[in-house]
Amino acid sequence: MIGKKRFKRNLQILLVISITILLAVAALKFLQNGSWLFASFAGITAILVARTYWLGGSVHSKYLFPGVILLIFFHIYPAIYSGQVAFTNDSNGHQLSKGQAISAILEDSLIPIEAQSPINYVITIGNSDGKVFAVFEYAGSYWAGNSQSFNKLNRDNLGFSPEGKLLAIKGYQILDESLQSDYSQELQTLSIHVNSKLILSPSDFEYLEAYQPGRIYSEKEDQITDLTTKSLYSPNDNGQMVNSSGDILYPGWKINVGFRNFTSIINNSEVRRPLLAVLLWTFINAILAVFLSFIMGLVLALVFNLAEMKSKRIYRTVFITPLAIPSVLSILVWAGLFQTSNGVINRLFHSDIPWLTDAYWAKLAILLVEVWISFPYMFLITTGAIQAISSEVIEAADIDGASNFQSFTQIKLPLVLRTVGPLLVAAGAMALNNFGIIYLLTGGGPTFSNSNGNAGATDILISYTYKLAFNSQEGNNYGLASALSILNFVLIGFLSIYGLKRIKTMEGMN
Amino acid sequence: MKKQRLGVGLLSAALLVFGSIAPAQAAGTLTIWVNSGEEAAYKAASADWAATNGVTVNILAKCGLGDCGLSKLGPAGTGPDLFVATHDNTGTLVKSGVVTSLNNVINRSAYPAAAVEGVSFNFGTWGIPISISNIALATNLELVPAGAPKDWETLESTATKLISSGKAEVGIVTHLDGYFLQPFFESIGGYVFSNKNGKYTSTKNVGLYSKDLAKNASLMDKWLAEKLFDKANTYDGSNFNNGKAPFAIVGPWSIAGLDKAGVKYEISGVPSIKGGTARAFSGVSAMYMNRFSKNKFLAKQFLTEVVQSKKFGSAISAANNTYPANIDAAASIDKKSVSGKFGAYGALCLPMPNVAEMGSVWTYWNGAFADWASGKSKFGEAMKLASKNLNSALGN
Amino acid sequence: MQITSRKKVRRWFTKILWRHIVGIIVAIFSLFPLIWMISAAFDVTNQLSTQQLIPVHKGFDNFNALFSNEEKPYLVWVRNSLVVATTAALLQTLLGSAAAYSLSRHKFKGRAITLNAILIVQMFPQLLAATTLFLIVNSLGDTFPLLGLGHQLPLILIFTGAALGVNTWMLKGFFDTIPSDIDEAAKIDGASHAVIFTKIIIPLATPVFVVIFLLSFIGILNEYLISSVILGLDGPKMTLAVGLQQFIYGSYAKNWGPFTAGALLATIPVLTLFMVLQKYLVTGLVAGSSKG
Repeated sequence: MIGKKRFKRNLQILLVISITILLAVAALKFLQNGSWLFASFAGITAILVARTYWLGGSVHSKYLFPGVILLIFFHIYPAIYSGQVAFTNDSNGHQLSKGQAISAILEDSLIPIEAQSPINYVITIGNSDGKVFAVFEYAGSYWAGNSQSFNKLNRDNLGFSPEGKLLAIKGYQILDESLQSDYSQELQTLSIHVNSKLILSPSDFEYLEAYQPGRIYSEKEDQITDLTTKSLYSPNDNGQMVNSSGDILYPGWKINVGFRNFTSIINNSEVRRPLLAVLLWTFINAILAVFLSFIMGLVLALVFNLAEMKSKRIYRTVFITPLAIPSVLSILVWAGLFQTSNGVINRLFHSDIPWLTDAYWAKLAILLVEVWISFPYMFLITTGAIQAISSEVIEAADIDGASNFQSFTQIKLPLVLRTVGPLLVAAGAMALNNFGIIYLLTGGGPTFSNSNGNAGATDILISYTYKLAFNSQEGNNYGLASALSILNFVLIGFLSIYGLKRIKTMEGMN
Repeated sequence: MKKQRLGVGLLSAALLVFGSIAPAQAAGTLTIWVNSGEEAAYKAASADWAATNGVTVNILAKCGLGDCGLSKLGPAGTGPDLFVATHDNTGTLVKSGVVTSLNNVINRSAYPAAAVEGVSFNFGTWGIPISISNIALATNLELVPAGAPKDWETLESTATKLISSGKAEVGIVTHLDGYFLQPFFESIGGYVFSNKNGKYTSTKNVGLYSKDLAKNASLMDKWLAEKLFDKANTYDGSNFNNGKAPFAIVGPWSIAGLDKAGVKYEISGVPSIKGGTARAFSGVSAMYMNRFSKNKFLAKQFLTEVVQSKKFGSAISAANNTYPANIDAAASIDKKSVSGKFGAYGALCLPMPNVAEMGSVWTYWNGAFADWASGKSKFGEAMKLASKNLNSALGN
Repeated sequence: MQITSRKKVRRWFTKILWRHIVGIIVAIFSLFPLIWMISAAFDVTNQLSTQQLIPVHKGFDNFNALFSNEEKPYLVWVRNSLVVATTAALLQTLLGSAAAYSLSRHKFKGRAITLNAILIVQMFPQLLAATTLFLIVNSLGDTFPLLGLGHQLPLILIFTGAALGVNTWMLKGFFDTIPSDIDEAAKIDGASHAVIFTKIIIPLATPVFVVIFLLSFIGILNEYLISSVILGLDGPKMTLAVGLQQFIYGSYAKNWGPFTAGALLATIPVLTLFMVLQKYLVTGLVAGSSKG
């Protein structure tokens, strides 16, 4: 008996040690690949695993640990990472670093020199610094060049084959052809500044292409000069190079903008106007959806809570079908049924209602589907709550001569609400973020004409934010979307805490 | 003993799992993102080249979310080497700095000028055209035995007669939006941006409410009232398939459905209305190179030797029912085939603008069409408002 | 005899009949989309919009289309969905109950804050972090391909991490209702915390477990955005929710027939599961919420 226990205990320790080592190995591998953040995640987790399960951590942490670790890595970390974007101008045209953007601007300004035919070159490695050099013949001399340096080679230091092929260069190692592809990354970024009018850059492993620079960048002044127009471009406060007449060079880069995205929610009427309508509908929709489906569930629960009705089980089974059909599929079917011309619903009622394209009808359609999806849940929880009310309480009320209605409103309802209250708060929080229905049924439409196409009459905050981030026709504005999602989070978090607190005080009163 | 062995076993198993799955050193790998559903066609079309050159060509379907992280993966050095996108994204891609100029790679003479124009922006050519697609008019040959209408008057009178005799419910099955109605819109004098010979001349000159359009706008209201267009604005192809509409605006993607429904149809261009042109927008599907690709030489070689070949153009177009961009590949398409007829109209079409401003255009332009279709406002009023809003959004 | 039976009939009318009427109306409402789903699945013309209740052109074309399309391998999607949803829902339930056990039974500093924190944190919509998750999984994959894009493991871990809050909260609510005398007694008998958790608490909480597992399972089955971002849109990698949408993807080419056929086939097992576990649903849902 004791042996078995000890065996189990040892097995546990072994398991913990293996996991610890595994995580440590993972940390090393991440480090090897240069992702120090993941490396530290794995490393810290390894230490915590050892600490919690091996070196006598507290009992409660043993149970909390696995869930919390996953929560941190796959939920909190992405949330914070996305959240910090709210303080940047991250959007289309502002996704590179400044260095990347400036080299892109310079690269795009290169003008191919058609008159200069491609120059054959040899890939070499410099003996002194181990760097890649292109060795080539230009203007009657041989040169070795890379992005940093450009040297003339003394002909005495070169060895040729009888056919005139370059075989050896003093100070440089000619690269074997089989190793070329290992250096393709260095070679493709190589640009040799021969003079102010000529840049040579490899187009493949054999030839250098000739370009004339169109713009130059001065690091000291942080300025770009356009060589054709002589125009000067300096950085503006939005991560772009701009000249005195307001012309912008693309691409721009990502910068920190502080609270600008948040203030733009208030100051920018293009953002603010649709947002107010969206916020209003977010709340109305959530409240109505929860309220209507709760009422429907409650009424049904009362109606079918009759012992002598034998068939109630069949009804119950039928009523929960909406819960059991994967909603992503059922919503899409609803969308088909709601079509205006030839849609099943319009044909049934011989009507011509623009269910999904008119602002009011679309809202009604959404509510209808929401009630359809969630009344079964409400029905189940209220049924459970009613069944949990002990029959003595109700009998006592009956003796007191309470009417049916009184016994319901004064005794049953408060008891039911007490039980399902927290569930209603949770349902409300979910309804505030009910992206699926909106997105699949109307896509938030019909679109407001004053919102740049990003917001529509049935958009709720999360679907509006989603469109700003991923679906915008104006280009994706991650910064603003992230600011809105923080707003969304704070709002819903606050409301949920408030709701739960209210329920707690209600419970306290009972 | 036993326990120890177990521990060692566990450990070595774990190390094996983690150790053995480290990425193999990829000497020659190209990663290419293509549209979902087209992977097989691209895989087949690049298999020979991959085998002869000993390169692994990794074809992946793009995810549907925004640009699928391209603008983040690229700068981070982990994006695909090449990717397929439609040419109207060119402006946005270039402004974001995530694509490389292909000036030295593209063989311009292998493509129609309009296609090259479509993938060109800011003095550069950024994509290699693969296929061209555009909408066209489909005529139901059972309702209209005479075949595709040669001019607008024939189309209108055929449709109204069929509607008044109760044989048809609507005239033309179409989405009531900018993309689908562009031929009609142009025909009555409207334009998105001023253009000449298939090239856009200025994004400052917006013609949503041009003089000609203002004059002819009431025609659109008349056609809507005549049921030439279905005001429900839900594209219900079944009306055409079931012989309840003589005409439909269709794209290459509709063909499989039409053939399956067994309807007899003919494809043609949209006839022009007042003697002008009735050009649809053509969309060029093209391959772009990630500016931050680590395999640019290999990618260039692939673009030159594979993507620009006649064989490749034919293979991709055959797979997705579009018209090849490559001139030689297009020449081998039967002019009488459905694809040939799409192409014949497409050759006259206008490439969809590829500037970043197009986002705002769609917003206001389509909004105006929706207001008109729902009866909220007359066509002229709707376009006037859209024109005003668009000009202010573009800062004109 | 006669009088009582007449009375019975009258009683039946006043007390039962109207309930049947209500029941039938609500039943029609509940089954409405399902009925049309069935009808469209057997209609070979592929147009939900011209659908008759009894299709004019009946046939199994749509089902055949599901099983013969190599680019859209339905059965593979079903398998993917089952693997992801079952594993993640099990993990969610297990980790949630472990955390709930800790929060319900062990007194430690910061207990209330921990509970509230994991609940509130969860309210950050994971959906909006989709790009970030994509980037994280992409870089994880550079080091460990199994944790990279296109694999199910990272998706399972993401789902597991995301649902800790609500599950823990519901389970803690239920654990609180189990009198602590029971585990005190067991403790005196020398039972370890692990034994109390696995041998006493878990068996008592079976209905709640079933409910949480079911709700998590169907929740994951319904998820398509993060799934599509992490798994990609390669034919054999998609889940059911992502894959079926491909049939009606885009506004210009909708293929309702195979979509409804696939949806129908997917609905039947889930529906059956719900029917079988129905008795747990009522007790489980309420048990989770009651705070004693």
